[in-house]
Amino acid sequence: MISTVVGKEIKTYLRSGVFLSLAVAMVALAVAAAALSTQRIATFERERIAAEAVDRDVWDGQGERNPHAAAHFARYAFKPVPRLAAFDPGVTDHAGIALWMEAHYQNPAVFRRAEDLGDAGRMANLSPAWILQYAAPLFIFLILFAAVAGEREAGTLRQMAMTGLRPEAVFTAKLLGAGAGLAIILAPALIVSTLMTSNVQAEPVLPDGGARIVGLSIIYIAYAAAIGAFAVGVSAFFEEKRNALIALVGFWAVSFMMVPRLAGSIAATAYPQPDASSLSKELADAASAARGDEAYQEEIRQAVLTEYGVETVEELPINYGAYSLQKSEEYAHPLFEAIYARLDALHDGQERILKSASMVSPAMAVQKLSAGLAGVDRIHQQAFTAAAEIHRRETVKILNDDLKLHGGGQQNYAAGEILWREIKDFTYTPPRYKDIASNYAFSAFVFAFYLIGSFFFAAWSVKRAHQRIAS
Amino acid sequence: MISSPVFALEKRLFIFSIPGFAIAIAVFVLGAVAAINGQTVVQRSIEAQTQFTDAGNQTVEEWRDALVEIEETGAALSPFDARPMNIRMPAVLPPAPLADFALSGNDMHPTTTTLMGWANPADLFIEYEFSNPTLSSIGGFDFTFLLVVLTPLIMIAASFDVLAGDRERGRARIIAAQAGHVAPSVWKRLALRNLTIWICFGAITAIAAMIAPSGVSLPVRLSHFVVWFAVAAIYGLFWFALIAFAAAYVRRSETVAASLFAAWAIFVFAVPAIGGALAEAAYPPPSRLVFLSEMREGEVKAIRETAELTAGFLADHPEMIESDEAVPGFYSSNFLANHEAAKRTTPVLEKFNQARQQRTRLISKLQFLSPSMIANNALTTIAGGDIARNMAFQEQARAALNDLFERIGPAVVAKQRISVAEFDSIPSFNFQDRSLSQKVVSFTAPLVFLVLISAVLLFAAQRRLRAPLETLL
Repeated sequence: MISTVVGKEIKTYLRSGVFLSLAVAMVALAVAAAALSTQRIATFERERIAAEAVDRDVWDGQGERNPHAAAHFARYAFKPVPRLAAFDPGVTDHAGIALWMEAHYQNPAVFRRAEDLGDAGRMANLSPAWILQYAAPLFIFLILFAAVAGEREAGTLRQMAMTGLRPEAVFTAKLLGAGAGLAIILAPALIVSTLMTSNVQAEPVLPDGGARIVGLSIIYIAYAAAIGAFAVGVSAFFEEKRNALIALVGFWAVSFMMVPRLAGSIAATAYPQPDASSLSKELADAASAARGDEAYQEEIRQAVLTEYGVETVEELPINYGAYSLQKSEEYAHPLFEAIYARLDALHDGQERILKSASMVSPAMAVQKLSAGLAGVDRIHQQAFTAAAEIHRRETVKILNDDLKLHGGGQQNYAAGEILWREIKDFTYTPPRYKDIASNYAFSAFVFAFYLIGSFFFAAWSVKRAHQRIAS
Repeated sequence: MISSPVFALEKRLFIFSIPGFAIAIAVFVLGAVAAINGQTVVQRSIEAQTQFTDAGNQTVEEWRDALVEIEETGAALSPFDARPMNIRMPAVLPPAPLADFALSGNDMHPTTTTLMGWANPADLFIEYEFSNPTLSSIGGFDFTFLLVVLTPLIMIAASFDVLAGDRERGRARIIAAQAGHVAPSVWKRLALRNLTIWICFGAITAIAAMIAPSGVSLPVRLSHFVVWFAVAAIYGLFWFALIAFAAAYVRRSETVAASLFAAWAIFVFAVPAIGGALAEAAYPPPSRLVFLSEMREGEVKAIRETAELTAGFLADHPEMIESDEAVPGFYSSNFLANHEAAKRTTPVLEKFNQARQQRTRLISKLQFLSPSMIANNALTTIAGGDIARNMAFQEQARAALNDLFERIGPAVVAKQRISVAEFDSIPSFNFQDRSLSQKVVSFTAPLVFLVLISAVLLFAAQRRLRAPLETLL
């Protein structure tokens, strides 16, 4: 009996002009999104590789200079874009892609692509993930709003009940039918976009890319199942399909469109972002803090005199200026860490509000999990900037040490290409997902709650409809 | 006038019903949230800019005082005092008169910078990217979002079943039997329901417009608001016409709703998303990384060839050969490095502008496919949240920096000072915004198109509603 109902559901879908139009629209949209997104990411990677090569050439070819002057000129760290960004760009367009590893300063990453996109880019972002997160649920709702309510209105639900079909069987048949219908739409879209985006011409940046693809597939299949079950539940809850449609679209508008923006605004109000000029000033103050700390200056002077067993700075066999510069660098490290830790804590607070909002917006939970798995969220951006800062500190130390050791007693010491070549290129490997998984635990919990809850709701709702028909 | 039986019916069915109350409350609450959020963001921005400007002006004053003292006494305490390289003039993009009505466009872009010889046009705007990328990617909640995205949904939810619902319940036949036709009652009921929404929306936006953030002129703000609301009303008219069209032509209420929701999804999301992606693919912005590479190559060239560049520069200014050798050479070498980087990056900046203009032109054509894009562009532009305004600020600031370079360059390279008179002739930065009339002209054609489309839809709906009752019911 169940197979009969499932078969009838599939036939109904295939005969429906609305269903077929939506299926074609979904696949076309997914293919277009995947093609454009793949092209973008491949371009980004080409640009990054070219910029790294130029940076190396410019660095090596800067001529003979004082090593500390070279440390000021410095090098750039360029953020590689993972292949999965073609599927889910996450914050790729809104996070800086290049970081100047300058002496004395821990700079923020700069050059956000979103700044060049124009006003149209702000209304919606065409990517396979966006289609699955936002457009697919609306399509699912538009297809499934009549799944049970339509049967109820037409009187066929009563006929099914009279044949002895139990509520559990109705529930199973409706879900399987809906699943088959959704698979017809979503499977081609998912397969095409996965194939296209996984073949993007870019380096495999993520060390656990395969596992992440599996994770993404599970998340999106479960998401579609949860949304489908919820739609069947709502359809069974209402006696008229018109009301079911209004409820589903209303839920979509509030939960998928309004709540994320509202939550973002509330987060920005609850945890206001300090203005950029005051943050820049704080960083500049931290960079020059050691110079203003006379006790520290005296302490490091005494330490170096003791170390070399001399009475005056002039007697030192090293360049004291370079030694002092390196000590000033080290003095500033905890100050920079404090500034950025405060900023990170503020951003964590903002995202806690977003996480809380995900309790009423399943798309937000999925968005968090998806961007994390694709390696394109703030956590991964932080890992990039942290790696760049380690590289900056190492580079500046090499340059200051060279000046310290070779510049003693020389007013105009200059190093050359041999030293510049000692400075390695910045390389970055994103963290493995399992190492940062705790950041996503809440979203995973919320998502699991939605998944299980939607099935329970659908089962309860179908049973209730069945009982009302029977009574 | 709306006849009393229709009004009585609507009072019962919508205005004083739970859905009617819910919709009115939702519009008020969402409007209040948009207003508070907008005001908070703009006020915070104004405060930060005031602090920045005050600190900048104080630095400029101190610098000028030192120069006056040197001119009066003929001696400087230090060779570094009052050097033109150390002029630091604040440049600020003030909030637009209606900035709180459209926040999204400007939250990514810098609104302050310092004009000085140490900067070059390519790196004039750096170190402002501290914001949370997650929040930036979500966008802000403001009146423009409320109007463009949510208000059509509320209008659809309120009025999709005006005719189909009556038809399904048999009420339409009763009305037709009593009045002879259904058209007047359908129009009146549609008007009543949507007016209820728009009165709520108009009231909350008008209240918000009356509260001007500090430093914003209220009359100027209100004149912008009048135009903003007129555009909003045209957009509302389009959705009213589309709802009426669907209500007249589609028989079943759930099909009316599904069609309208699908149209909403296409106009609000699908077309802008595809249009934005196509525009980016057709006219990709030049790589910022190429820009960076050009800048650094220019800097290295300048560093390596400082002596040569100095000679070349001074060839045009022989009167400035005499110099104060006590001043560190890095003043002039840095200035020249910036000068060289500016020369090399100017073509890249021009390419950015060209690509942006080409994209804007393509988008301005594609917007005719989506009334939501038309409304969003027009409303954001009037409110001053458009990216074009920020780009204009960046261009004007770069032009002001070039002007500063021209004025101080010879003295910096020759390691001399400028006179107080020369300093006083340097204009302080004042952003020149487009006038309201210029903005209105820029989107007149799309708005006229929107009005025409609405008129066609209304005419078609009216024709259908005037059809014989046996066809209509």
